[in-house]
Amino acid sequence: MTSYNAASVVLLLPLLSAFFILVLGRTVGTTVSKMISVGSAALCFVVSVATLGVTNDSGVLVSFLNVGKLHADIGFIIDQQSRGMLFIVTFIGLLVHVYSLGYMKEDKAQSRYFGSLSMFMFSMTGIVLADNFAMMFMFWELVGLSSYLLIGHWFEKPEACEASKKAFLTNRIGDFGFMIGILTLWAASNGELGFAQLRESLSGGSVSGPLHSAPAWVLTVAAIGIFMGAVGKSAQAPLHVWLPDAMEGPTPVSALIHAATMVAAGVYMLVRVSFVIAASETAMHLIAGVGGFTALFAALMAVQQNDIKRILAYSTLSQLGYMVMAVGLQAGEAGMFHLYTHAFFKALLFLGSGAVIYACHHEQDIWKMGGLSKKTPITFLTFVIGTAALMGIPGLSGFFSKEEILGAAYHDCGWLFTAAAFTALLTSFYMSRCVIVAFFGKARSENADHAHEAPLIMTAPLMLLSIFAIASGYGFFSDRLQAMVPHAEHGEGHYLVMGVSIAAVVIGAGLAFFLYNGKDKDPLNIKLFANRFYIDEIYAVIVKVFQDRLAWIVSGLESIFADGLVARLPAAIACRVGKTARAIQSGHLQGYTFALGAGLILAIYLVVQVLPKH
Amino acid sequence: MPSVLFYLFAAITLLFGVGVVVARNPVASALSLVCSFTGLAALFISLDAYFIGTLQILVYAGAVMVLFLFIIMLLDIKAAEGRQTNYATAVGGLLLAVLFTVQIAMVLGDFKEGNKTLADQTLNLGAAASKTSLNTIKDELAEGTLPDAKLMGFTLFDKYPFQLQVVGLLLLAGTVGVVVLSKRDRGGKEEVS
Amino acid sequence: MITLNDYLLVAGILFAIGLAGVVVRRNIIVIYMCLEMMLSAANLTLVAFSRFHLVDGAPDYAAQSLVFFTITVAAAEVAVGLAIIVALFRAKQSVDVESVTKLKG
Repeated sequence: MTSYNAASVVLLLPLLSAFFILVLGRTVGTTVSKMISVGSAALCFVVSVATLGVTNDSGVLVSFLNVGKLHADIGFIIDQQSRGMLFIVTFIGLLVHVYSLGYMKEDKAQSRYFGSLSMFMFSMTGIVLADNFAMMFMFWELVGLSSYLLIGHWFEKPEACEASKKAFLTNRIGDFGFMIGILTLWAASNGELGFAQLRESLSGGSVSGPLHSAPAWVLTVAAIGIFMGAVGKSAQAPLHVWLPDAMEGPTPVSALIHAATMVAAGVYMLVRVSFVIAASETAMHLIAGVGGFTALFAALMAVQQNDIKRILAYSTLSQLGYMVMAVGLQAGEAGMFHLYTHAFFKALLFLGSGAVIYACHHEQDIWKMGGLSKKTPITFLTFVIGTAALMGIPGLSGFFSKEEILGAAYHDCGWLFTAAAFTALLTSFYMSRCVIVAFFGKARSENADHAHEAPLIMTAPLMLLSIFAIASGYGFFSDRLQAMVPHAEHGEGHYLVMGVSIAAVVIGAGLAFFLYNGKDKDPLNIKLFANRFYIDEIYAVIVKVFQDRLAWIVSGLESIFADGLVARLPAAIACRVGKTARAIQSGHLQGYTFALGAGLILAIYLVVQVLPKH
Repeated sequence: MPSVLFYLFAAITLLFGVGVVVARNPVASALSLVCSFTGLAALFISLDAYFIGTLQILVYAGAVMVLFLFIIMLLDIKAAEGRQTNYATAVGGLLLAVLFTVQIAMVLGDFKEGNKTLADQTLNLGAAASKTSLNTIKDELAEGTLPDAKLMGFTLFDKYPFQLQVVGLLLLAGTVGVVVLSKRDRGGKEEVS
Repeated sequence: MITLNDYLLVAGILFAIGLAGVVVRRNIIVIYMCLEMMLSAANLTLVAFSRFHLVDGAPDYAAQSLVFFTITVAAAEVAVGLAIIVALFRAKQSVDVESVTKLKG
């Protein structure tokens, strides 16, 4: 299979599926829609496995926009990065499709759900394959749209509705910056949007491109703008607020979009355009700082959450912070490696939490669970594997990737390393807390008492993912999957880093065991963390104070200028003229005839008497 | 044509025309119009337009006026008339008519070529005969009579055949339109001229 | 002797009478008659010009062809117009133009 065909198939199949379900979903019924959606996901997976063997390639599928200096094509790049990412997206996508067959069995709008999933697969593969900024931006927005649709799937719930709106709007803020970054690059490079061309233009290799000679601040603006896109999509501080709320969506969606793929799109994009970021020292520092801050900040908040999905959501934030920090530290490969291992174990954890929630009859509070280890053994086992991988217990995938990032931080910046190590400790602490409270002890509610194991169609993806969560860190495995593994030579301090990370795991887990074993209530009570540093409230106040003032001023201006001067005044004039003119329209035929005759006489007078004299 | 006859027929035309406007009874108006048109036809004939003159009597004074009278009878609108005359409109109409006449008179006063008399423009039938290609017309012209209808027909079919077709189509459309308009309820039928 | 201007003046006066009639009268049928009068006045000018503009010694039959067309169209117009009057009478029970003021602004 040529890479051209592969790219077209992977891109078009989900689109066709989504289109089909959109147009005919009601007619053909739920079963056919499900089959089509799952079938397209399976085919995409097969194709992306097949691409693992092909050589690097790039090309143009459709010439999309061609106006003046603006050339935007629907093209593709097949290289190590996109092949590996394509595998993750289609693999986890397929598992989520299958899992959803079980989880969403009783849902009323399954056609819509599976159509949106296909739509998401289309948008995500578009981002992965994109070979230029315009295409990436288009699919970036499409991903935002499908995420909106999926979060708001249960739109009867006001929380889901609000959450989808919040996700969309917050993403818009980031996307605005992304657009500024793209346009800055486009203007500075004299009309280039393709990644390869921009890289060429920046390096000034054969031909000294305009980007090469652009002033430093332009590149800084572009890099920070592009990073803003990633801040929105990958939920970095301060735009992280949408991700925890997005947990209102169906759990498989949380696994697919809000853990494994979509939020990783920001990191993927940053690595893809790392050559732009590398050109600006300031942007690099900013990115690393934001990433490290988000990692620590989110981990602190995760410590005091009680909703199992929210714990995982904050841990996702924290891990994404790691990846972004790695990109900022010029260790993009370490970031991609962590993205890749994280995708597996975080999807595992989310699907596992879905199984827990399913088992406890849609109970999400971990304090109302307990004692599940005996009732749901498969879920318990796989969840623990995922937790261990996330904590970074040696021998599991998370350990390797996390250590790479810690190593990069150690070499570059002392305080970032401290923050990252402390985050690792916190991660270990809150995940242990989650497992201990939810699975051990005794059942603390009716629902947990009557828990039952999820069906095979849901546990099978869990088992498959736990294999990946264990093994994906090893070379023989990751090389097959074309993951971007850093080939860092372990220099001095390697053992120190390793020691620190193992110590962090042990201290965190031990602390959690000491604090939570056998407890029925949370012994810690840190309001600041539980209320997420009051960020949402602060935003609400900011919006209230500034936006309301601004809106008041703008509304005043609008009513004076737009409404008054532009709209009302001409309307009033037209109205007055019309009122005057309607008096002429008496409706009396004789009046009209008289006017006709008078006009005739006047015309004759003008033609015969006036005109000849001039 | 002697001047006396011209003045006579012109007076008939104009006086009965005034009669149309001032008569209170619509039937009187219609009959005045018939008389006015007859005078007009006489004026046409005085201008050697025999065919048009005949047409004026046949179509206007005949068919069209019958149609008018028929409608007047059908609708029985005598009762509707007889309201107070509106003096404002009467004055306005009169003013218009006078102004228009004055204007025309002034224009004609400047129109030098209009001073030609019929005697200045005697028909030269011999010359016309030599120019005509059609034998029947040529023969009649050579004999000294004016074959008005034949010349008319020749002009229509020779120079304006397309326009003639269009007018035929127009009449057809008018016929269909009248049927549609009148058919609405209880199928009151209209005669089409 | 009678000149072209005499004929034209008669036609003009006839037109003026028709115009005055349209303005003065309220009976829509009479208004129609006055319209016919105005058309005929125009016909008279055409015929007069035709007679006083000789082509090869004969009257100009192009002008008379126009008169022919005018008469035809006028006849069709009367037929349609009277049908409309009948429809109007059915709707309003009147042929007074004062009863038709839908165009009032």
